Amino acid sequence: MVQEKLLVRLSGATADVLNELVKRGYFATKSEAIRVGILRLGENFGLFKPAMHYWRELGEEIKRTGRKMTHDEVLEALTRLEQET
Amino acid sequence: MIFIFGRLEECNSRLVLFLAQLGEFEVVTSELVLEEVERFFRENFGRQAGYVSRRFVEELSSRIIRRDEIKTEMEALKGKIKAKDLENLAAVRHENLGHLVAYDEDYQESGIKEYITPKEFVKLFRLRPYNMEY
Repeated sequence: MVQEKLLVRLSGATADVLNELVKRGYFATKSEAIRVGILRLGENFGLFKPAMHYWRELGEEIKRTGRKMTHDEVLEALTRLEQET
Repeated sequence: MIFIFGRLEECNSRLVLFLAQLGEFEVVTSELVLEEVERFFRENFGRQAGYVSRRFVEELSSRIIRRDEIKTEMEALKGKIKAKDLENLAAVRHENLGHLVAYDEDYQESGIKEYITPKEFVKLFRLRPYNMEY
């Protein structure tokens, strides 16, 4: 995974908006707000598709657990889920 | 089922999800499906998988139909279809959707005209489907 460390100086409107986003509780930290902002930009310019991102992340998460379910196990789990719902 | 098998197996449901990600059709999802997908992945692959699967469904869907919105349709459909399928069909009728993509013979037995299997749905886009129906 690529990592970038940046020092960004903000003033005026950008600093105000960032402070307000955290103050209002939309984001826990300024860093988090900036990260989400970059993804939104990527989305606007067609560089990032959230659904694809989550698709890949889900695949990685499944792999990470190391669990493999057979077709029958999935069906069984689904039936149980439906009954409980 | 589409969201679950589509992520876990190489199958027609996966092709449906790929087509959706390419924007070939609009995805509308019921609150019930959203909850079931999240629960399935949470119970079988952990909390993070549950969260990510929910976000995937939310991002792929142009709209999530909340239970509150479809009370009238659900009431009208009671007794005509199995209780487990009621919410999904009510969502389809409420939104006037063209297709209910699922693999559940109960829809077929009840004569639901919007019902289509992943295999048949994929064919609509002139893709060669896998042999299995789901």
